[in-house]
Amino acid sequence: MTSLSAAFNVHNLLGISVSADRSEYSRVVKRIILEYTPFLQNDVPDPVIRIKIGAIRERPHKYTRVDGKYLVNETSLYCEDSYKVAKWRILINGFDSDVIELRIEPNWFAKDLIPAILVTPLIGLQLMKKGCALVHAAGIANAGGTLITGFGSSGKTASVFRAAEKGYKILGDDHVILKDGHVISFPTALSLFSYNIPPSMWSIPWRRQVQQKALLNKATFGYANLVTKVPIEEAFPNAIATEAVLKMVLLLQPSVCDSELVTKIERSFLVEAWLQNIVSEASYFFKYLFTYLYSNPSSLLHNYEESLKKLLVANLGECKHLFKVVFPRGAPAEFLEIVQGEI
Amino acid sequence: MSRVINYNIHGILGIQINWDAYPRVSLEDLNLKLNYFRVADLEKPDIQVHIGRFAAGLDGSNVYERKYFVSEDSVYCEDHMLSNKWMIQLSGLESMAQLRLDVYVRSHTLRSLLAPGLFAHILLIPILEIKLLKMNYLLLHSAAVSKDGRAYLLSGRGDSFKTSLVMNLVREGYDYMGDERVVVGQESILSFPTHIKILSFCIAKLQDEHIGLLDRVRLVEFLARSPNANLPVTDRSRLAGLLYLSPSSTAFQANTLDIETAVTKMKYNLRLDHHEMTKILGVDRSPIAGCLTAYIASHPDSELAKVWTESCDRMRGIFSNITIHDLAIPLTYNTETTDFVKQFLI
Repeated sequence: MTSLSAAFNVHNLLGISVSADRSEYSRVVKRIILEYTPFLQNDVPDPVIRIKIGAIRERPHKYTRVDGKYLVNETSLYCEDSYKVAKWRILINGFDSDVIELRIEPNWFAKDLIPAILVTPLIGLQLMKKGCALVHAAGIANAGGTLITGFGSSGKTASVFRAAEKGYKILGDDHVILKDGHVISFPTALSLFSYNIPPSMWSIPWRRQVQQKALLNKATFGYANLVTKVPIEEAFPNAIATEAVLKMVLLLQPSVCDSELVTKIERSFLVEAWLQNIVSEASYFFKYLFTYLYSNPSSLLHNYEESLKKLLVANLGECKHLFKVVFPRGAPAEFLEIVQGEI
Repeated sequence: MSRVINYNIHGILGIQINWDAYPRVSLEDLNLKLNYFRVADLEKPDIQVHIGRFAAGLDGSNVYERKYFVSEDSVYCEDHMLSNKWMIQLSGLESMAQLRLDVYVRSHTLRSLLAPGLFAHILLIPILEIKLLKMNYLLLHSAAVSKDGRAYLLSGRGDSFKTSLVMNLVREGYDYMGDERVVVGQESILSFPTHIKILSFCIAKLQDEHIGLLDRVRLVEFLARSPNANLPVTDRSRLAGLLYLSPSSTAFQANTLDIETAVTKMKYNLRLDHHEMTKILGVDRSPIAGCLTAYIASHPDSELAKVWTESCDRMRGIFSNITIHDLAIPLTYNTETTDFVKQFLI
């Protein structure tokens, strides 16, 4: 295998292939490998996500132009987009079909954005077609699986670190797959920032890198907000589990308050919070998807949000223990104990 | 110098905007989106906008992404990009009877783009949309013209030549109702003219909506010389048809749309609107969209959370008795486009 291609097998649920047409894009392939290392395989027979990195010359055949920048037809969407200094061209082909092709032409700065804003949401979309849900949550397991979920910066990663210290197995730091009441691991690389590492973990080997990036963030008045990516196996050696029966979901809710409060929540509450979370987390992807759906209102995906909610409810299975954990922001609670007491 | 502006939208809804410190010299006034609706007095505004410093009460708020603070009744957001900093608070969300928007902007670089008044008016549109919906009206992203008491919606995303078409149709004797948005009630359309002076200039002087550099100079001159040169607006007309404009690489083509398809299309049109502004601010998500998302996540059973379903239900009711077409038009505007579109205004 050269550094210009890679293949991933996500628990035999779906396969992904990645290839680049020029050596200058090998760093992008490497970045994708870093993100999804645990799924890396030599070869995947029928990938349902085909990622090609390289120059995009052709445009969709017989397209409609939306907002002056998206070119859309019945199967595909092309656009040029940017975030800060990162720029990319993409051509997504086959939104409605079993196999999606994602072609990307990124500039130098776009490397770090590709997995989070394009690949992971696409994996979510393809898993949805197979009846399982990719949820934005950390997963930990001892006897059963616990999901720790919440919006960005709500303390998921910090909780995973704390759970690992207590001997929990790790299923995923940012996302996990839900299937018929089971949590299936999605151990993507950890995203470390100076604010999500608990003080007890300050001895970690990437500390210097994290600190330097925090400094750069300050120096650029918050413009450069670089993440330190660490393969999850390195952070938690021999602590990665692959599957657990879902026992509990904790919705983390940092708040301007003085003490913790744990309350039971309904499925509908959790699912609505999840939906809002997903749409805001992957706002670029949803901009593309909504643009596609605007042009193709008869698409199978036209009721995307309602279908996703139903899918989430169904895949929660028999899980009864759904809690919202309100805690003072900036001081993640020792909520695992608190919640154990509740049950 | 403090200042107050009142807007009355067709007697349905009142808006009051308060500036704490209004700059001595400002071009904002020429360009405020809602100038058409300005009135001297307003009894009780349904939406109150305050531009200036404000203190946010954050105690007990839920925090999202470290920048959105949600309480029972309000959501507060504080964010910055380089030297631009903005604080927004939207309150009154629990009952939605009276909404209040507080805006404070500090900007050194993009002064013209981030003039607080313009910024607040952009933020105001989604809020207006929600408030009107709760009063059984829709604020739709569509242009509209009317003839002989029959109104037609020309709907399309950005760059779909809504404005050029309106300009040419007005020249050909159609009545103007709105070129960006219109208010839609049961079977009737109410005007919602934005940037009416600029549009008057375009109709008087330009071929299409494209304003070149030289035209900008002429525009300023036009605004200064003829401050009252507003084109006539038809305020109310009966909804007769809906046309989607799709600039397309194929030639002219028309398809009839069924009601569900049309509603889905309009739904995603509105959803995509909430992503606007991201370019101006250099952020990945519009602050007002972020505020609404955080509030709905925190209060999934709230009135606000029902907005999308309600707006689709209303659209279904309103569009059920009209003809709906999706029109493929060329990627560059020309007079043939007007002729083609006119065939469907019957």
